[in-house]
Amino acid sequence: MLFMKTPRRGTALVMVLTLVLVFATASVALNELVSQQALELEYLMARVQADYAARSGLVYGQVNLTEDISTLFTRNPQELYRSKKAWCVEWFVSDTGVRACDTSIQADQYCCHFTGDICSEIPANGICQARSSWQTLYTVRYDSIDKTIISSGRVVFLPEDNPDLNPNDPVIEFTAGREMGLAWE
Amino acid sequence: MGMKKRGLTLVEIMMAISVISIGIFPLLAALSGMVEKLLIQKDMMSSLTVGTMQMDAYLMGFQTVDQFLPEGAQIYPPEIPVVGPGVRSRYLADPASDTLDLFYNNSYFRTFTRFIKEEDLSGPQWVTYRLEMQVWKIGVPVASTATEDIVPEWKNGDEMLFELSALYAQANTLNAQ
Repeated sequence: MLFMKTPRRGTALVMVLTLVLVFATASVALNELVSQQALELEYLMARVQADYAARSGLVYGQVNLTEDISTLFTRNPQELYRSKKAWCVEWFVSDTGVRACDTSIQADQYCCHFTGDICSEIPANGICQARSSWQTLYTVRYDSIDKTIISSGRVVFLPEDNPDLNPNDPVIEFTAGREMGLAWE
Repeated sequence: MGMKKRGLTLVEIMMAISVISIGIFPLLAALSGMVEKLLIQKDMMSSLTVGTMQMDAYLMGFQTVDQFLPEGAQIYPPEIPVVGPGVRSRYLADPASDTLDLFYNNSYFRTFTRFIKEEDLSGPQWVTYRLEMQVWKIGVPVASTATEDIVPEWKNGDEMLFELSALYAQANTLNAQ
C-alpha cells in the first residue's frame, strides 16, 4: 500500500504544478494579447491622423495656388500638430462632494503645470501622467505639368520624449498620401 | 487501511491554498485587468469614430466658420473654441440634439475643437483655420435640461482619448461683402 501512495501523491503534485503553469501562461498570454491590441489601436489612430495631415496638405497647396498656378513648388514638411499624451489631473472637492477639476472651466487647459512642455510637477491632489508623443507633419508639392497637387501626411513617434525606448530601435512613423487634380482651370 | 480513510492533511490544505494563491488569483486579476483594458479600448475605438465623424462634419461643411460667429461679425477671430457635437440648434452635426454630449456605444463623448486662424494661409479671398480636436469620454453628461449657453465642465475621471488636427479653408465672404 505504501508503494501505491507515493505515485498518487506524485501525480497530484504534477497536476497541481501543471495547473499553476497553465493558469500563469494563460494570464500572461491574455495580457500580452490585450497589450498588443492597445498598441495596434494607437497605431490605427496615428494612421487616421496621417490621413488628415495629407488632406491638410491639399488645403495648403490649394490656398497657395490661388496666386499663381504656373509655378511649380514643393513645400518642406510643415508641422501640423504635436500630440503629447501627457497630462496631469488635479481636483478639488466641491460643496456637493464631487471631485471637480480645478480649472475645469477652461476646457482646453489641463489641470496641471507644465515646464518646458513636460508634465513635471505632480499636483497636490492629483496624478501626473505621461505617455507617448507624436508629431504630425505634412508635405505638399504642386506639379504644374500634370496640374495636380500631391500631398503626404506623416506621423512620427518622438523617441526623445520616451526615455524608456532603445535609441537603436527604428523610428515608428506612418504616412498617407493624397492627390488632387485641378479641374477649375 | 486506516490510512486510506483519513481526511485532508494540513500539508494538502496548504498546497491547495498555495495553488489558488499562485495560480488562480493572479489569473482572475489578469482577467479583470484585461476586461478593464478592453473596455477602454472599446471607448478608444468609439472616440476614433466620433472624432473623425465630427472632423468630417467641420471640414465638409460649407462656410462652417461663419456658423460659429455671432451675428454681424465683420472679422474672423484668431481662435474659436467649439464644443460639440450636439450644441443644440445652432451648430453642426445634429441640430436636433437635446444634449451636449454624444451617447455612443454605451458611453458619453464630448468633442472640444479649437479653430486657430492661420494668418499665413489667410488672405482677402481665403481664411484658413487649423482645427485641433480632442475627444473626451465623459462620465457625467450635461443634463438635457441645461440651456444651450452652458459651459461644460470636465470632472475627475473624464479622459481625453483621441486628438485629431487638420487644416480647414473657406471662402472669405465676410470681407468680400
